[in-house]
Amino acid sequence: MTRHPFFGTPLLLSFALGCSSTLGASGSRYVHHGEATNLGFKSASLLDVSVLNADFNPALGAEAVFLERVDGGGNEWGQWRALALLGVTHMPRRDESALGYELFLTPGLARYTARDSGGERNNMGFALGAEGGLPIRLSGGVPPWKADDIVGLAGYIVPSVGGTWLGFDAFELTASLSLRVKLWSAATP
Amino acid sequence: MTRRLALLLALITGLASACGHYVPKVPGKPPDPPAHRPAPVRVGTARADITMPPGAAMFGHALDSRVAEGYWTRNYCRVFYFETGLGHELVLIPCDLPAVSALLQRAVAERVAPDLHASQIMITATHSHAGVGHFFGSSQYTSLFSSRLPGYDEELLVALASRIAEAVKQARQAARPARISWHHRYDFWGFTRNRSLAAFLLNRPQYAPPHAYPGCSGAGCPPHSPDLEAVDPSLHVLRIEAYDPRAPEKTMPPIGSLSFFAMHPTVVHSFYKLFGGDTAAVVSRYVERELRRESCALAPNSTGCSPSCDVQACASDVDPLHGVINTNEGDISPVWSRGDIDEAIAVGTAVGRFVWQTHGMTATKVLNPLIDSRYMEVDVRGAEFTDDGVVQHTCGAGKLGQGVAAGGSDHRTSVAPVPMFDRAPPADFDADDCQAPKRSLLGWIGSKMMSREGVFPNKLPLAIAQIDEVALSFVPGELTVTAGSRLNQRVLAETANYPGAPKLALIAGLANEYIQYVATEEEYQLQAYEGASTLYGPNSARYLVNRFGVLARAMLDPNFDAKLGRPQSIDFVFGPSEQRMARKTKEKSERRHLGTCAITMVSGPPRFCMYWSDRGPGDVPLRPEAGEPRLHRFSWIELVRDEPARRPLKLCLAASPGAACDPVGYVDDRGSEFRTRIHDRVEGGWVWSTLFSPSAEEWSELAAKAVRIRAGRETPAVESPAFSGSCMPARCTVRQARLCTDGAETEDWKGLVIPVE
Repeated sequence: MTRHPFFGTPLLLSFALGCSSTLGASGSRYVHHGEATNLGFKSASLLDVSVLNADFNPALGAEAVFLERVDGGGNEWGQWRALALLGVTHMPRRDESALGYELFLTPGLARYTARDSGGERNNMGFALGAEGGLPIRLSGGVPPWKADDIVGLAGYIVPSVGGTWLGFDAFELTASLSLRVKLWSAATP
Repeated sequence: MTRRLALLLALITGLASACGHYVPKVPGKPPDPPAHRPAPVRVGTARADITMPPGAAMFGHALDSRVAEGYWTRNYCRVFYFETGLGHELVLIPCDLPAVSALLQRAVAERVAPDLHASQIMITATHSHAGVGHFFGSSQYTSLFSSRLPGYDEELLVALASRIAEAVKQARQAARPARISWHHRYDFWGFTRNRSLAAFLLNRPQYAPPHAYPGCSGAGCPPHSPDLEAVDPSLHVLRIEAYDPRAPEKTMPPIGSLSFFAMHPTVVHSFYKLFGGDTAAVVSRYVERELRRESCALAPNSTGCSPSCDVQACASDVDPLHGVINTNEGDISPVWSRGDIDEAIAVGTAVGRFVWQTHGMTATKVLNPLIDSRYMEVDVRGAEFTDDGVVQHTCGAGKLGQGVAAGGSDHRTSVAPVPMFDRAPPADFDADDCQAPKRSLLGWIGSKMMSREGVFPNKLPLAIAQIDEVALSFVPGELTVTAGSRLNQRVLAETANYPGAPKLALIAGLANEYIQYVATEEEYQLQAYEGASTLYGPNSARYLVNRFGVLARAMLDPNFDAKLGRPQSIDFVFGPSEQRMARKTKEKSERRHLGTCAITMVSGPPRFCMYWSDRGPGDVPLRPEAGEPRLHRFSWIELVRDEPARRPLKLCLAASPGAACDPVGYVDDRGSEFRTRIHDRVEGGWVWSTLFSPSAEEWSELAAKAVRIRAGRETPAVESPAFSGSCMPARCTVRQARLCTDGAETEDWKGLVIPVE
């Protein structure tokens, strides 16, 4: 972490920007152009822009993933993904069932391990993928007449999976498990 | 290009959000207008119970509108159907709703077509802020900031529309010969005050009440201040009684009455989470009881109407209705201090008594009244009109000003202390746009949000009706006292020279749609609460005055071609779809009594708290099934006699010793004595509680009788142990009292709920 301030900065930014902030463990495995397994952390922030269309709950956000290769080849914290999150999310309120959903397109930049004739090297390039998750509310449900506070915090655990093209070099499948805190208000439907 | 893109996006968003929603058919051509002359009239009434189960949000306090956990009065729509000998039909429907949407009006019209046309249906809201939301056809009213739990619930809309339409059909069937009388008075002083006095004083010419304020020197008078004088002190009652053509001299029982006065009816504060009708509901109940007493006294078997009401048999099915219709009440609030339910009952009772006294004032009973009406739908966005030879226009899109955020001066909102909302005046005097000097709520972002299609209502149903000597302008908003006065003056001026002209003009506010407040151009400049809520800019009031002038002229002048046209398609824009009205479930729940206790008061009758386990909010029989022929006899919570048959207790409730009883003197949740709440699901059932708060009048009769509180008539019975004035239940513990009075948050139920063995 100390060697890579890049990890901490987006984390702070994500808390500052978002109506919800996420922190969790992430893993990925390249399935094309060579195989590699990475484990690490991710942080994300999401801004609920359901004001644009409250039926579909659009959301915008940013996600930073920091990964270490764990199957040989360096064991370094040298990989990262900086992704925008564009999609829809429904983080269930206290009066709803505990299970929500989210689906994002994730364009951005990535530093990743590429393999070519010269062997393996860290490369930087664009990233484009998709990510889906199931936010599960941590607190128990309450009837609607007890869910009408004007503002509050809600916690979620969010398992998610996705896939990302890393430049023209690799395609990785990702999975993560995160904790999310959402600052909600009655102003957001 | 950017504009095209924005239009495309707006179209896609609009289509996406409207996709799949029920939209009523566009009404066809209105019936041909009748001749403007007197004719015999038939009148029928019916009531629709529109009480919703707990779980839906109320509307009217914006972000402070809570989710209801119960009810303290049932909410009703009271239908008054008029049919003249010339074949003209008109339906007035005052409802215990915070506001009305053209979506609801059209949904009702669709259900009563082809017998009636939308142009004949006038749904008005009493403007209770403890009425249900979620049914509006404009996204702002079901979306962001509309309540603490926003959302559009189509099933709720359909339920409302179906119940109202059913009552309209019943009223139409029940129509019978009638005669009417108007009762007017101009001394409605001391009940109301002007809550935006600074804006009011800007008007030129200034509104002057028809009679000067005489002062108030009796006990209970509020301390004198100028805001007490800046009100409309007129109060008008339209009384309708049955008429027997075979016995014209015979006095027949009342069918119902309507009162018209200027009082924004909100006393109950937003943090009371019970559905109810606020002061208007209390006024209606007070007058209806008096009308029933009158019916009883006139009934053939009048001996049964002795104060010993145990044996009375007369007219037990009578249900004369009293509806309250708001006039120019935009800046006129009731005089109140605590803002609780008890105070709403006290204010409503005092006003009800005043309204009832007005029924007794001398007036001519008219057998052949002149009843006529005209209807038009207008697009208020950027509407161009000519007034005094000058072309003027409204603004192209609705916008709220920053002045709305803090709320009216009588009901400040939770965000009022936020510095950005605390600015006074919240106006931008450098602005030069159409809405100037309005400072947009939430600045640039708010302005962009509000400029989208369908955020606010923009196609408005406007109607004028004449009922004998009085013209009623059905305005889809809340006009300030001065704006309303100007509109009334225009109506009278436009009609003055024609035969059959009205002698008096009144506003019937919050009718068929809701564009919030409408302040005069002068008041608008201050951007106080009402001015900041005037959606379509400083010319809004002037535009409405102009349009109602046209409607009035069209009604009186057969040669005037007003081109009123036929209703057009309205692009309803819906908020996010949510299930807000509790639905029926297959949930198994046990019904059993859990506890009953008494709360003694410092003075006045004691209160009684009963709590029990029952089914969930969508499953308990809060209202009768559709088609219930005797809706007015339905209750869920009631007092019953302590006898094996458990008959509902009936009190005499005579106005004075020896006077006629109330033939429907039951003590149940059709009145305002029971505050019923749902709490949590505990031990296999939902915990409900009700606080029975008898009035002094009721307690004086009740104290000697042994009674029980009963919840529902299903088996197993849920009822309290018998109690009376001499055999009181145990005094409530603090936790029990909280349960019944506070709507307590999740409790430690230990000790309150005894587990099932």
